[in-house]
Amino acid sequence: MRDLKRTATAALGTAALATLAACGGGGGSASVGDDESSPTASGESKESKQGAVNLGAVLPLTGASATIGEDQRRGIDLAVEQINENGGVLGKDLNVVVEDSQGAAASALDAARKLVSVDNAPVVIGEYSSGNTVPLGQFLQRQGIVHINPGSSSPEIADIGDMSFSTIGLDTIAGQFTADAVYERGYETAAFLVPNNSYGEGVLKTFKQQYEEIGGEITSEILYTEGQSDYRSELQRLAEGDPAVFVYSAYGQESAIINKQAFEMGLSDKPWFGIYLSMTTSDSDQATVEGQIGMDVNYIGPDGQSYEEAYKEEYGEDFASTFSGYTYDAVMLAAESIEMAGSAEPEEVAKAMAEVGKDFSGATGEISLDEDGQRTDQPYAVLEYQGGDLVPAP
Amino acid sequence: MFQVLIDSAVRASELSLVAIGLSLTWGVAKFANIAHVQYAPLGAYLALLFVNMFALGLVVGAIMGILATGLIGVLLYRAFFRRLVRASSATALIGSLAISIVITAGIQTAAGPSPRPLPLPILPGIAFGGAIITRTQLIVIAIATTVIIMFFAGLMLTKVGRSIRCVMANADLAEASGIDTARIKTHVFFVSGGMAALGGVLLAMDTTVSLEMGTVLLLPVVAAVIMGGVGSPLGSVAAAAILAVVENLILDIDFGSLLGGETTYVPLNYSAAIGFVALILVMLLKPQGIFGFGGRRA
Repeated sequence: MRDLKRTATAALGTAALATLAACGGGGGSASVGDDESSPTASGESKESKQGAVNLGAVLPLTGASATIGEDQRRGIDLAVEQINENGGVLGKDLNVVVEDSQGAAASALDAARKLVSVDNAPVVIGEYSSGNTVPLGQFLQRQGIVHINPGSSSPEIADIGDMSFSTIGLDTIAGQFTADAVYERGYETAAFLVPNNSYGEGVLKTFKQQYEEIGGEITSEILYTEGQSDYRSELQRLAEGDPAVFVYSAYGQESAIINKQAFEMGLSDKPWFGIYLSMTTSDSDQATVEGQIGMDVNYIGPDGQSYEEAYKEEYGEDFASTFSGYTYDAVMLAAESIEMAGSAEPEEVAKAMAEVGKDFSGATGEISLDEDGQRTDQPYAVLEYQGGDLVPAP
Repeated sequence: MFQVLIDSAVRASELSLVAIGLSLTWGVAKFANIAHVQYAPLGAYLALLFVNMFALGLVVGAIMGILATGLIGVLLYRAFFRRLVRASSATALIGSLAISIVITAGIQTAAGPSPRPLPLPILPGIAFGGAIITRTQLIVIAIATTVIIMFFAGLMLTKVGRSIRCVMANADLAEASGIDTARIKTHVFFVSGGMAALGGVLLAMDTTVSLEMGTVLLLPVVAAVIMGGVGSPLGSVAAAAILAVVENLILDIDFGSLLGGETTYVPLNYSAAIGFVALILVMLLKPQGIFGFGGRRA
């Protein structure tokens, strides 16, 4: 009997390992539910339409960044509506098939595969988290499909290739802006917390370089594992060097846990500076983030008034996040490029986009793409969280 | 140091509640129920569902979630595992792995993949001796300790408890001496499922309930059960406590300074490896468990 037990014990150990390996991807890698079962809040068609020009989009409609993903979809819907009111593209209606990435790279790639092979989309817009956008862009590049990044900021995106474009500025500028903003406010020591993915690494690198150059000191750098339910150990480490300010960036619902636990641990008595403040506060309990300052993309350019009005009219509220304008601009840019190319062939569209993108007036301001297809000037703002709203910081 | 003790106490409470049931059902039904760890998120999600759907208070919702999970545990055993274990315990183990995946997928379909908090007020923690403990954590430790003591009192002092111990020691002999082993197994699966669900609810109160909760629990819980000796609930509580202390202590030690160098801590991501190392060591050196109770069984 003892041998039998030993065998059973060994078998259990093996099974435990197998389960861990199977679930090692974290996030939504346990994705079994098919696309059709995902809720689509706005009732937007997820099918490609006959006789229309069909584009694709991969957005985090569920998962930690679902709040932002839903807002990104609003930008797309508004752009499609406006384009079709003005006669569509190539004399046909424009349609954008929106798929859910579940906030995970594996599902984002599945969604992209479907958009490319089933819907024949020449252009795919996505995603939000750099950890998903980079593999998505690389996949599309290999498939020869145009990729537009409307929400990620990792510098790695610039290296994807000639089919990849961004309507949002990358962290090479965001990290520097943050470092300057933090230091100007008199915080000479900072603890830094970001997700352990290409976004987090990118922003840490550029922040650190600039902050140390102007005389700041980083007391601790923590790269947290995404999708945890508990961040107390990370927060304890973060507080150890007694920094003047906590500089952090985290995705919606992960940020909610971090803010809650920091509040419980009494860490919110010190100033917190959020990188992309709308992202770090969108899902957090109000009391836990009151008074936080942070930077964010300045989401409305000089020509963005009509977009802002259309958004308010359609959804009856102010912008839910700062990111809908970038998906709006992505669709607008794609439509204009297709029109200019005179065809929806990806190769032609990419060539046209490089031309159109040199000087494009979007809802989020002037967009001028560099030779890597990346937005060169990105306006940022320093904001403060007050009673549920983000207001310009004093 | 205080902080290490507090964190360990919370962790040990949550691990023990799940580990006791796995050890118990393994001892009684002679197979390792991988799906057992999924009863923790299942219970927490059901509690959340009852709270949201019927606008119940958290306490009532949690009790309903715990009872429902206990029933699901019984149903799964009677409809599924009981048949598989007749083939062999390895078959039942693989079957429970499948059930585990189905539970996770079911939760994801119903509740989505994002972690969710239980509706509790967010209050600043209580500071003492340089450490911080939240009110929720105090409640977690109190509830877990009470339930664990009640469980062992029941196991040691009541007639049903004695029957359970008899079935664990030798099911055939127990049957022959007039114990209704089928009924006893049903009791065991109900109590085990309920305790795992309670562990999940407490863990969710302390942090959040997430899809990964069960998977993340699997390694430390299995490690605790094997370290404690299969079929020895008391051993698994002791092992869970040891694991919890080691997990927290190892993150708190500045190894760099100890060796006379710069401040160097073990990277946080490595804490998951501690259960792993413990499991491997025990399986290599003393597969019957470090507390050795396992050898008592036939």
